[in-house]
Amino acid sequence: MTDEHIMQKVAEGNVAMLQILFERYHKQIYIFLYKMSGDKMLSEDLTQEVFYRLIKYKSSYNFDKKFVTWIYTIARNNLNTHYQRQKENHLALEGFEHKLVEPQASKNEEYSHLMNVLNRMEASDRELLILNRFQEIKYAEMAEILGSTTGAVKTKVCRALKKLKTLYLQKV
Amino acid sequence: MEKEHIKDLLVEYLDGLLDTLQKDQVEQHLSECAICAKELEGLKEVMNAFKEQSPEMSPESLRENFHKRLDEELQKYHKVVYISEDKKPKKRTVWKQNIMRIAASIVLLVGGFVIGKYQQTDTTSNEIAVLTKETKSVKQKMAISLIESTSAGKRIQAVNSINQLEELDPDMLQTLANSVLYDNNVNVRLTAVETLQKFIKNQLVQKSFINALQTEKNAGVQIAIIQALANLNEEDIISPMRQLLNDSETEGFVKDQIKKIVPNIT
Repeated sequence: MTDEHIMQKVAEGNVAMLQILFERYHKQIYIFLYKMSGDKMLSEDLTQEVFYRLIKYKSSYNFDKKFVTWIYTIARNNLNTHYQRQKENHLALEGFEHKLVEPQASKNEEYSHLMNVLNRMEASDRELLILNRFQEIKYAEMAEILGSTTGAVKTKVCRALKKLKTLYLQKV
Repeated sequence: MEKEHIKDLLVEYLDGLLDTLQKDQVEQHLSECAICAKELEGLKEVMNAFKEQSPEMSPESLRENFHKRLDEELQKYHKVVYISEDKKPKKRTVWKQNIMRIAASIVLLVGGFVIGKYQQTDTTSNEIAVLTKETKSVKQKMAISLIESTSAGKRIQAVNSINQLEELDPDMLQTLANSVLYDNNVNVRLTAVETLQKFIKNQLVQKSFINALQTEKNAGVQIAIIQALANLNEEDIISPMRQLLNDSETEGFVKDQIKKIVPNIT
């Protein structure tokens, strides 16, 4: 059964079918969020939240669209909302001058060379590479997730890979 | 072909996404241009690094929490339907009918156990046959009566629709195994066991059945699991069977069934 078919059943009220989609997607959504944030606890919470949202907004699922683009859109929104809230709290608590602190810029010995290089890149480039390389999302689906066109995404991924290549080969 | 143009195609070339014509052009150019060939080597190296990155594990608690939430949702759904349909008298009769059907199903199910219990003087296999037959018809009645209603019982429909597939992928097996272990509805568990017993050769299925035997309290489901496990190695199943046999809460006919399948058990 395709993801779209199952999600249609869920939207029609067969909520238990969501178990199948959970088994198919929870690992890769968790890994996406973990690679983006580098925070295990946060990734677990946000992954949980993604599936809660699937339940809550099941009837708003558009059957013409691929399920995979929908679930990644939700995951991205969750992560962005989290960062926005964190930023607001940060501002309120500690004042304006701290907001440029980039916690992920430092090198972590636990990570592979690739992950350390990735973490040094801009979030938008990092996201393109994680989606395209780790999650193996197709260009057309990425375009839907990112609200862009297939051609533009293809070009951006190529550029990001070239940037990564330069950084990666600098120190091997 | 222009050098810059080629560079833009290298990633797709390595991913095998180019058509034959483009691929030939790229290869032609690569054989002539050392700069692009070097670029290709660098890209290959960094793209391989992605493949070699060891995959992270996702925490087990994710699944537990998801199932907790899903159960809450199924309960809530049940209530919401009930209240909203109060306002629609047309549908209310359907709902009432369903309640009656569910009630009838429960009566049948309990009846099956009572029959099984009071006819213990008969041979065990007869009792099992009656019970199996009863639960089968109960199961069918449940499926029929609930197919129209938007209630928690839809889970059965879900399991049944999975049942109609010839082959199951690991996700579905896991889903069904979870139903066997965690679903709070007897009939869902029973349907899931019946669906999964075709795949008893699968390790995951065996494991979930053996685990379920230790937690399952319903005699009908116990019997179904015991029968499904009957063809497996005695060593693997003897310990959970013995535990069930020594449990004072286990029904007599369930114990008889265990003794029949594992004669050496003490």
